[in-house]
Amino acid sequence: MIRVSGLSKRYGDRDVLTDVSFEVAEGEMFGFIGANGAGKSTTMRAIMGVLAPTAGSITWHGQPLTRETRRRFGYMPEERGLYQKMKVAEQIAYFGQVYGLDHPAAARATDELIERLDLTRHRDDEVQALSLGNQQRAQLAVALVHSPELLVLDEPFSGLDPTGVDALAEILRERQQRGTPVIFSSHQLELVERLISSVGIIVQGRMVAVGTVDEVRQARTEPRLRVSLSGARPGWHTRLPGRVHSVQDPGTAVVAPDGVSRVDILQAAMREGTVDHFGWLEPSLADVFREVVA
Amino acid sequence: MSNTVLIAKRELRMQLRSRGFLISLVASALVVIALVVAPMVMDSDEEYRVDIVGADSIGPLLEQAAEDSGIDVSVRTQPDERAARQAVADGDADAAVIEDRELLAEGDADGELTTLIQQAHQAAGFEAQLAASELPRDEVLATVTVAPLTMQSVGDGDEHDGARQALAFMILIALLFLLMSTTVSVAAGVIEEKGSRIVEILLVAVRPRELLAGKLLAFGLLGLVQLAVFSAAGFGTAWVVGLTDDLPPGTAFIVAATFTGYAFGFLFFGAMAAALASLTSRQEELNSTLGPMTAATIFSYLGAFFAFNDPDALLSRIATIVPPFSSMAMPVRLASSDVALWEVGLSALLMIAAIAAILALGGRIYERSVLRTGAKARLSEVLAAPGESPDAPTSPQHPTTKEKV
Repeated sequence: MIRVSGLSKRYGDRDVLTDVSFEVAEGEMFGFIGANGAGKSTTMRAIMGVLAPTAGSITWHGQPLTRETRRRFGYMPEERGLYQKMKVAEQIAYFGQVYGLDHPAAARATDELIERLDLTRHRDDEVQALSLGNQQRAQLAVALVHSPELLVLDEPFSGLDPTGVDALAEILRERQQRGTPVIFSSHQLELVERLISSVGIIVQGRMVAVGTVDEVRQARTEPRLRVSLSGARPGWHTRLPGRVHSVQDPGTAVVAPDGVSRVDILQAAMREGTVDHFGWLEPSLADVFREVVA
Repeated sequence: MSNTVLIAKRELRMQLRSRGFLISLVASALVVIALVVAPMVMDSDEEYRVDIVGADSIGPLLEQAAEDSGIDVSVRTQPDERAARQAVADGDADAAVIEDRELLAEGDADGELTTLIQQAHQAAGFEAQLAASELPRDEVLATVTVAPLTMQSVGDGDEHDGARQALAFMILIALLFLLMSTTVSVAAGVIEEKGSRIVEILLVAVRPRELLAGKLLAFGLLGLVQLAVFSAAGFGTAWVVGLTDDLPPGTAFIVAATFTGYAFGFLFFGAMAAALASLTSRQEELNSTLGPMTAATIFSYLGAFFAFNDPDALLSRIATIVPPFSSMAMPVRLASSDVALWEVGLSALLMIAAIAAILALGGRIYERSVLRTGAKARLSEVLAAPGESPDAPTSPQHPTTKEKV
């Protein structure tokens, strides 16, 4: 398990991270979401040791991190970086060796990843000759080549086409099932919601919500009812008890009960017209995020 | 495999595969061969051509004077001044003498040739005036003839002076070329890794110093290999054309000193280049960021040039002892002149101390700035900042890391 406690980073008099804490256990996939510049990359860079935090600690199985420990982690930085003039397969294998594999093991892992990530046609191309999407795949292979014990991926899905997204999602699930904790950031919230077991929302350097998606949903959003009527007179929703959150179309409104019982709301709705739909609205992660950031 | 070796192997593989490197290696080897062969070709070709119009007596006298001085002069007769002028203007003749009265040349005539022609002209005039006079020929000749100065060489090894000069010149050029090119390659590599953020993935697993050491090892070896190729090309050519006998005694020592000078100079300038390059992330800023290193290299070249020009002057002696100038100047001075052993020893000791200092300082700058993002860092800032090094958080004793577990 990786545990981040009270992580802070200050540049001059500017706080970039303030008291960020979370943990990711074996087999967990942690989605890190937040606006640009909120502190996701800073947190990940601190985990990977490429940035020294001002305060706080990061432990792996209860032990402080060392370079030897981090060598067993897989990292994809925010800004992609590969040697432009090195061939794809050669480069993946080289980083495999940098991360501690011997030559034959690095070659085997490279072959496997090249096939999985559909890079077979490009294995002997220089990286600079690849499309951005394929460079991204090569970068992922570099992060995965040494079968890391923890994966830290900064925006791994950005720039991938739908097949690339699927291939990566499958690989991440596979690693997760093998027990590898995965931490990744993304702005594609639907995708995050589909993949993750827990989520952290960071706003201006502070972690404002952490937990499973359900926990965060419950903690951060008020319950809402979705009501659909037919045959109702215009303005029907203003006559419902509770507070109207939004009107989706003339026959559908989202209502926050604000303490009113759902039975009272249902009865009021029945007086206005024929109730086609009445039920709790499950907010998406995107809804939660918008609410938290607002 | 050690990280440093792993990194060095990658750099070597990439360089040896690059067509640019191989072309430059072959081209420079050809230049070395040309430098060895050129003087011979030019020597054998050096013959003055002089056209004479009228006054037939000057031709034989000129040939005689040329033969006495060991200079090749061919004399040709032209029918008139126009033809002679044309020949000089076209470069078919180096000079023309018109009616023993005028000397034609394109621009200023060569000093050596002018002296010969004037001498022949004097002799012709003297003979004519003597014949025209009633004076007794033998007496006059006895009166005006003065024995020439006898020439005697002093010092030793002077029969090698030409070869020494050539050797020193080639060492000077080779060291300048290699020190410039290999250190700039180190800097370009540092900027490539920093600018593309490859360092972020590398430094998770590898210490900054290991990364730096790997780069220096690779490009240092590459420079030594190039120097070996130059030496093989140079001495091989000298052997083929039969110049090896001209080489001064102790040539092997001079060559060894050149390799050492390169290795020392490379470590010094290479560490400096890496440290300066780590301040920026943009290849466009390569030249400006390397300014101090380029200046130090140019000063070293000037010092070495003094040592080439006047090996025993005080300035040359200082340049061969003070680091980092000594890395270039000492091999050059060793080739041009005899140097006391203590000077060689002192120069090496001082250079080793300077390398140790610059490696420590350069390593520190590199370590602290290679992971910095954003605009070009200032040297003073980097040195003053508390350890923003990636090693800091890895240590559980790091003062700012509070353990809350």
